[in-house]
Amino acid sequence: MGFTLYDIVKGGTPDYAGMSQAQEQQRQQAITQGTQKINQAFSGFTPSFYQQRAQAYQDFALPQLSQQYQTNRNQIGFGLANRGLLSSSAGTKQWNDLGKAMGQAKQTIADTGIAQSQALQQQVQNQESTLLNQLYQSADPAGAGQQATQTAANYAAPSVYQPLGNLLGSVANQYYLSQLINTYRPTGSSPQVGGPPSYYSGMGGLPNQPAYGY
Amino acid sequence: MSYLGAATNIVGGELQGWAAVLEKQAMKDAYQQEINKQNQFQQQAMGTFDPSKSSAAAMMQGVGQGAQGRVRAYNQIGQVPLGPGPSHQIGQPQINLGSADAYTKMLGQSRANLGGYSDWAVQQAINNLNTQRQLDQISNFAGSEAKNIYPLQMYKAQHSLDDLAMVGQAISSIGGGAANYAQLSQAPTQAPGYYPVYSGNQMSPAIWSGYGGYGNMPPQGTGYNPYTDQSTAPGVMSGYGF
Repeated sequence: MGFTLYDIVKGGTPDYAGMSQAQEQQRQQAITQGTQKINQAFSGFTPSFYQQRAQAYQDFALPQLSQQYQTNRNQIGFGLANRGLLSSSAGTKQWNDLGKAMGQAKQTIADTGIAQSQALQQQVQNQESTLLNQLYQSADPAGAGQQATQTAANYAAPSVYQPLGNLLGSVANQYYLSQLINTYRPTGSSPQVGGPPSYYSGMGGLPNQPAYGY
Repeated sequence: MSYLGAATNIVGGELQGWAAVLEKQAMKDAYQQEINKQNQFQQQAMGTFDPSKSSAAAMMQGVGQGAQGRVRAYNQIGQVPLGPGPSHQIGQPQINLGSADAYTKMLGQSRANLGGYSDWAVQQAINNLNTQRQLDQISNFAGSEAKNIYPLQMYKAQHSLDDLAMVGQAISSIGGGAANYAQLSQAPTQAPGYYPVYSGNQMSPAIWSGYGGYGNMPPQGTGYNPYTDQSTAPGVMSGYGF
């Protein structure tokens, strides 16, 4: 009898399940709130942002490619003019080779920009997932939102780019090698000036013109 | 009093039995509720999967979109002038770079088609990440429900009728007490055996020690009276039990 009275006085069995359920609801609300904060912090990473990121690399790389192009163009033009081949088929081929190399170089730059933007996109997504996982453990929306803002700001900061490599190296090497071969070609084998043009083929397949001056 | 004890014992035991049975049923209900809740989480998780994004047709569509994007990028960057065109002799027609342009476009299309697969894979990886996030949240909620709440709900069900069981226990204890009281208060139904014992003092009948200390009265119905029956006088007879 006494135990019944004691239990009544003490309020009976506490509703542990109800208390736990209430705590769990608060935790889930906190996680939902934190998820919204994280998504808000990362809301700036839109497709247009990543397109701008790719464009930024193009803007960075194209001037360097332009510098390389002009250097090669001048050297090829000088070499062709030096041999009187500016309007020849050999010259046309040389310019076309340069044009092809230029086109591929531009495409490579575009691909590199896309790849870098995609890599950044994956990093951002991974980081967002990491923050969400931390939020699931901590259920601390304030901390998660603050950390997400810091992380997003770090990603939005400008990256350090590596300078562009020599994208027109193949054309330049081809040209220089041809020049080198012509320079050291035995004079005995050179055709006489005014004679029929010989077509000694260099490494690049450039038809040799009558050897002016050598 | 003994009937009251038996009745309260029965009622108390019955209440305790019902409490146990109903608590068992409550535990079963709690288990079923948890199963239903977990099934809802499972349905919610299944809803995060989008089969349309994983089919071969979706893949080819993604590859095509990626390729188109790359072709656009190639065309845009191809129109960026990087310097003057080829040198040519004055008076001669300009050098036609049509073959280089055609080659670049053709190569660009093939390159874009190849790159489209990479674009699809990247997009698919991001889609998987998004799906994984949703699954993580759902599994987190479901796991917490099962790990932190469900055991307490079972505990609650297990003790949901503790009051009824306590009342039954109390009633049973009343019944037990009543039974004990009835046993103690009941008059003895069997007379004790009478053994007149001679204590050695022959002066008074009071020296006769009756059985059980009942005032040295002789047992009823025997017709024996130690005060009148001289045959049992000390030294005359051997007496009972001598």
